[in-house]
Amino acid sequence: MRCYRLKFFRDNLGMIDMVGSYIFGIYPRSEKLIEITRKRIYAPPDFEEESKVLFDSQREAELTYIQDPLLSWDDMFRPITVNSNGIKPDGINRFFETNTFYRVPLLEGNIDAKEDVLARSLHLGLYKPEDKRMASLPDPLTFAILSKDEHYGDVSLVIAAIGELLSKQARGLNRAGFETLVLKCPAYGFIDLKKHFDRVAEAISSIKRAFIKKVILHIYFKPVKDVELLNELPVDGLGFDMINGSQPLRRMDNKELALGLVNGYSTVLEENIPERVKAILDSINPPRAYVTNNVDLEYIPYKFAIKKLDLLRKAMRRINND
Amino acid sequence: MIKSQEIGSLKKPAWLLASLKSENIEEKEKAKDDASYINLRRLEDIGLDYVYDGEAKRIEMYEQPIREIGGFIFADRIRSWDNKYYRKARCVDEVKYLRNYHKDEFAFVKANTKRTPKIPVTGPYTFMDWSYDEHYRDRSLFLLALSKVVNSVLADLEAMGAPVLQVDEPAATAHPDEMDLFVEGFNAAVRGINSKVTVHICYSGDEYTSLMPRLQSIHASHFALEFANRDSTELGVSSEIRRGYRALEMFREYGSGKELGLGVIDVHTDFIEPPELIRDRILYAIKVLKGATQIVVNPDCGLRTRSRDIAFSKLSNMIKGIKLAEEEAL
Repeated sequence: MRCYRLKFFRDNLGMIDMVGSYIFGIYPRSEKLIEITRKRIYAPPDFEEESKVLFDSQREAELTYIQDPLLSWDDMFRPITVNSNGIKPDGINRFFETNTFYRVPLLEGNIDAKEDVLARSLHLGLYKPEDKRMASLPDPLTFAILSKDEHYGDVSLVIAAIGELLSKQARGLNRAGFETLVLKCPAYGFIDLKKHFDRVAEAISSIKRAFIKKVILHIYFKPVKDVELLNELPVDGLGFDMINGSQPLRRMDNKELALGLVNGYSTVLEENIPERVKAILDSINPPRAYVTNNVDLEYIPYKFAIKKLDLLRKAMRRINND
Repeated sequence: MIKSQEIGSLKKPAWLLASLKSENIEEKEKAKDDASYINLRRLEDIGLDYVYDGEAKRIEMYEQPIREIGGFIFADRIRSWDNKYYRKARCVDEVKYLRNYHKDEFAFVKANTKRTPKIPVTGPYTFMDWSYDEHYRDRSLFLLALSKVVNSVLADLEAMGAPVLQVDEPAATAHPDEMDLFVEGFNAAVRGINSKVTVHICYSGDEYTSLMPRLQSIHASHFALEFANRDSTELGVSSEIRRGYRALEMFREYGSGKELGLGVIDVHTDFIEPPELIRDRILYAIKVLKGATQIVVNPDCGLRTRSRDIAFSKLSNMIKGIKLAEEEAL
């Protein structure tokens, strides 16, 4: 069996040395943390202890990149909306097609923030020197589309302003030693990307210049129609939700590929990740590939998130023939 | 006359929550009866036409019924927003109707009000969308199995004399591409039901644009919808000021013969809408609908996230706002 596996993957992987893995986005809170946060709304709990457990879980899962589990983030915009000028969290709205809600970022003036707002929301002290640090942020288009603009009056201006704000945060993350930044793009499957493309490319380019190191765009919830446009964006890698819908992929010679095969929206434990990786890499030959979650793990309870991390570790061992 | 209703939930009083921790089942049931009775009296005193007991006897609209439908087990809590969570269930076996899980609740409401009692029943699409499916692995099969369960519950409530059955489907527009599936599941759930069927849908990500063209194909005579959450708090009846009510244009186009439950209270803020604001929201709706639609006024959704004082103050102002609107419009 082992010999078969060795041949199976070596034949398949070709130019790729190893397939990496990471889990981006907001992790679920444990039952203990849920009880604390439910009862202490006005006295924020200390998230550090619970975060440490999830840092360790990621190391045990042998992930390539380690990300703060973002347990204190109430939604993907919140650290920014509560700590920046010209923007604040407003009423709640459904987050795409989930049964989860976010507070709408309300833009009511020129938006600006210090460059360490994001970095300060992370538990930098929990990283070990050997950890490869990864952070995730909303991409400028998703942020703009989900905001309520009462100041700029034009979505292009909003994208540009948010791009600038996020660039500052990217610079702060670079200074804090992060080497990979995942830009979360759930809006891409729901809107006409072509319509906003120039502004989006400009904003992402600004983020990339500020971060300098690896930037990966991750599209999820729905397949993006104009997938070829993504290749034109100035990023190092593209990630896709390989569970929801059928995302057509093209050969990728210049960009790394992240395959969202760990379903963050289902308690079913995936059994066929290695086979799916093989099938995909048969036709696409990126310079580097990763297996990741498709969407934030916060949509499944904590104990299932832990199970998925273990499942990913086992799948990666099969894939890389450890 | 413009009628009024509450949508469903109210925050449980502290003494009820304390009593629910008791080991004494009799004491717990007595506390639930008391809370149900008090809620009914409060809502009647405020002046609502259609009343229910604010979920005094339920945990909430999802967990309570799922506990009493075969095929599910719970999978701990996940976040809904901020520090609000809900317990999400896993469907691990064939879905089965076991009993009418609202029987005792409705019997109590009916026996303790002189107003028109209504009973909210969670709809099959919402059950499906809010659960993990490990058994069917097919949304259509899962949905239709749940529709059969809800249909049995509705039929039993009707046999008990329920005049108004409110099917709660907050998830209805969560997946606009799946609206036809929602309609199929909904209609299967209400098949053969002769009582008045209403449907409550809220927090629509697409402002009901996927729902409206299907109003005539949904077998409900009344649609209770959420608007105030998206609206400004300025007074006035212009479309700019009443921007939360844009979907009314589509209701006028597609909702012929259907009754509208007009959401005029934002349930996610402690701001107590003044009667004049309620009035203007109603007058705007009358203006857009050109008087052709019967309107029932209600909050956007259940008020369980607000303190009881705030919830009752909001509802009191809602009744005052209705009176102001009637004075101007009728």
